[in-house]
Amino acid sequence: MISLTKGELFELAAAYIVTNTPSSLFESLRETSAVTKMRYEVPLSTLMDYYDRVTSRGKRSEISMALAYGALEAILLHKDNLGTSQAPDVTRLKWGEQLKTIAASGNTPTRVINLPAQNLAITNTPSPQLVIPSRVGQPWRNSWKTR
Amino acid sequence: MIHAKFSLAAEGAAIDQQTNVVSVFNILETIQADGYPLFVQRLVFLALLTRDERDRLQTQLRFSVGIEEEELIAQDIAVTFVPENVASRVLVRFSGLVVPRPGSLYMTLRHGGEVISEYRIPVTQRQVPQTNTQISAPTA
Repeated sequence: MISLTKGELFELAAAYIVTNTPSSLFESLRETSAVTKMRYEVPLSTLMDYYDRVTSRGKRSEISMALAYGALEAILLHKDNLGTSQAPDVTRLKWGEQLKTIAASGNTPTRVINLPAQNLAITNTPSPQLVIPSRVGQPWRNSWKTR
Repeated sequence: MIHAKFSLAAEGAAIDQQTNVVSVFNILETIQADGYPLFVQRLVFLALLTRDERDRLQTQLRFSVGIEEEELIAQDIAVTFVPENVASRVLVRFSGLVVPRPGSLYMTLRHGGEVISEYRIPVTQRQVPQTNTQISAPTA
């Protein structure tokens, strides 16, 4: 059983309506409280059944589409789905395949290595002596002292 | 079998904590300097690796940096894959690299002795134009 408040439904619908690319839809949906609730509080099997039911409807409104995308994203990012990567029939939604790809790329591990400067050789070279040339015929003097 | 989709060297790289997407800044195609040895202060190496479905999730790679025949740095890197993803990344951050002379600077990743990725940067000497200007000492 999935229980979403009216506010959560509107938030989901707003995220669906204002986005114009799969990646922006993915980002917007992930930040909604409805998707967070579905990811962490609703069992994976319930979400799968719910997605099947919502996407099999002939008539689709903005809210039902937002719910379908929200359920799909919650399935892809569900805490019990890590390591198994179960996904329903994503072809029922226009951007379903793209959302699946984005979700998969999000868990690519990165091995970061910080290498110290290993081949640095520090040598001590004496500087050449600084020679300031004086004007011919005039010995060097500090003119500011005489003013 | 481990493959590398791509590898590159750049001045910097960042991983977005929220989306886990990597961004690289100022990809190094060539290095040109007036004199050598040259200290390259900002340098990163990035490679995107893929594995076959039946490959192990943990493997060991050998990362090496050199110029022409001379190896400057060699480091073993343990790479980990996750079950639901065949891709993994390697990001090496240098705290500075001394390039001793012009030549072809290479960065390679080896798996079991076989080179799976190589990125080469031509390192050249900048030609400074010769001037014949003579400055004579002022006379009184």
